[in-house]
Amino acid sequence: MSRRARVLPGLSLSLGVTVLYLSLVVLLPLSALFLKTAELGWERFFGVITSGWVTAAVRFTLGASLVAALLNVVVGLLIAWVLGRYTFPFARVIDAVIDLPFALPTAVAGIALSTLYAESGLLGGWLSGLGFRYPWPSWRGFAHGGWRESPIEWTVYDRISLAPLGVVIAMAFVGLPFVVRTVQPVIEDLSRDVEEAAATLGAGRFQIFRAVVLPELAPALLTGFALALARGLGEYGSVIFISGNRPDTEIASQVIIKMIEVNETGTYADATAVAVLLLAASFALLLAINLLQRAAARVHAGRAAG
Amino acid sequence: MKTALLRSALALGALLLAVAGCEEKTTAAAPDASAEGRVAKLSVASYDPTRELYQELNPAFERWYKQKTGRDVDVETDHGPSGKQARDIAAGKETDVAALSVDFDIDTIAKAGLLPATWRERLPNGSVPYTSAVIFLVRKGNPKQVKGWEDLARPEVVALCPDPKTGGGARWIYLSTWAHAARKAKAEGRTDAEAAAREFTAKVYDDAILDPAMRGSSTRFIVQHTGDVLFGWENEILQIAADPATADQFEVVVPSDSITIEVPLAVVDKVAERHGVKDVAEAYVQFHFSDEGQELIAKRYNRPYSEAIAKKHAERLKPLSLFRFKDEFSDWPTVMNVHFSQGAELDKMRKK
Repeated sequence: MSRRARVLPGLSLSLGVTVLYLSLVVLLPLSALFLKTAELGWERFFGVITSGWVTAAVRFTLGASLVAALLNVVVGLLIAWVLGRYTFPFARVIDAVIDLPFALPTAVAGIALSTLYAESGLLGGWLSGLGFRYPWPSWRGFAHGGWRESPIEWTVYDRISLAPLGVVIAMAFVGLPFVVRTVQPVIEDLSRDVEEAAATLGAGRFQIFRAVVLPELAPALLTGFALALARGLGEYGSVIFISGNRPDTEIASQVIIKMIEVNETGTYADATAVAVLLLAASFALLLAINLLQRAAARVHAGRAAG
Repeated sequence: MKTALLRSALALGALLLAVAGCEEKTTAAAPDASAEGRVAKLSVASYDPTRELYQELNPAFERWYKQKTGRDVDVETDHGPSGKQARDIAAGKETDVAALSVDFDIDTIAKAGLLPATWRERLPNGSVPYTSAVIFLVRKGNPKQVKGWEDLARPEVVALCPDPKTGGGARWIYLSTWAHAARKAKAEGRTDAEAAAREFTAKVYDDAILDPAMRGSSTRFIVQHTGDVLFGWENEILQIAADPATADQFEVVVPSDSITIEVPLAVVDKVAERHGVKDVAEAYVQFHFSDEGQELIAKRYNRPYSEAIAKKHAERLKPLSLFRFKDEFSDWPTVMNVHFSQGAELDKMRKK
């Protein structure tokens, strides 16, 4: 390796710029958040993050974005497969449409969805007219400081707007491209020889999918899942049209906004406490998924070598 | 051929989405007193549902002021949740006059040192140019048979109102619900009036649909057909009921009693002085109490302070039994603490 082979200037300068930029753009604002929270003191901090309002919202945000991300993994895999493997009319158009949720301002997505699913909307009124019902679990394990006999209660909703399903749909809408766009290139790169070899050896369709295709796709799927989940957790613009008007669909970022709106001394710091909690939660989640992804890649590499 | 069709359909779809997005934009007027000729600029901050009122009152004032002093003045009003307006002004927003929905919010500005704490005494009627009440709006034919307060507590009736956590106007509605129940329990000779009020208010609010702002909740009720009862301020509800575009879809329900909603206004001294418009600002707030101002106020379904003008409009503002905040509650800071702060009454009511 000669010194000339490097395209960018040497390590010391590149690393310096990297660290400086990260500090200014990422770490500085985040540490300001922690500083503001520190005003609260431990007792109030725990009081805030364990209050019913906050825990319910965090639980709901996590649950809804998890459901939306799982849904996107299943549907996104199928879409990526269809786009990567088949040629059919309008393939390019559909391929372009996938990216719409990326580019669309989230408020546009929100108003589009709420126009569609409202009681007066094209789908919302029709569905509730048909008697469409769906259940959603709510976690009430630690009610009033005690453990409940049946920690999960099911609520049956008769509509989409202003209900958990509406929030899940909005999160699924904005998260879909993340799964498709991470999985699609891997599918396009998959060599068919291995599948054909497996077929010649007598493997069935499902067996080929499970033993040959899925392990190849697993790291990309996990990445897509993590990105979709992160987007769901952080989603605000498209969700507020649906969420927050009823206590059972309040998302965590809305709690932050409301705490500031209450306009009392100390509520601003309370809001930063919730923000810190969210930050920690998303960091832990991403870390866990990252580790999982590495493990999956290692297993896959081991298998490929052996 | 098919591709072209699909392409144009997609383009149309994208265009429609873009149009929908554009409607979101609001034209926020920059409230600065830049020297534009010799015209004095007056910036007013008000709460949400006064848009129509100030669209009429501002030009009327401009004409009146020109006639009286020969000077031109340009009044610009911006609207937002009352609490947020107060917070913004206290934080340095350049506003000469604050016309908000709760006097507590003007106190917030006073605490920031922008006007004296005795601001209430500077204008007639405790600086309250008009009042309003809490009434209901239901869909045509009243499908859920809502006749009064008690019906709001029925589980199958979904109520829609602004969120007391964030809106000043919404707090009046909540307090009216609470006080109605407390007064009823007292009238029935019960000793646990407070418990009765808590129980009743919880039944109404446990799964009510709460929009952050008053305008938002009425839009939701009208456009999205959400909820069975819109309960809100009389002026907002009568305006919807009188709007020719929607008049045949709704019915007004006047409950047995309601709180008197008292909305204050005040000159933000420090800002108006800095802008050199203190005298204009003072004339502007006085104009609210003049016959012309009162007439415009009544025209927009508010209950004017002037008895003569109230009598003229008695036909439209139906009599209902009104009670005062100060007779039912102690003071706003206490009420804020007991009902609306974190973990207080309202938080306990909302089902989790």
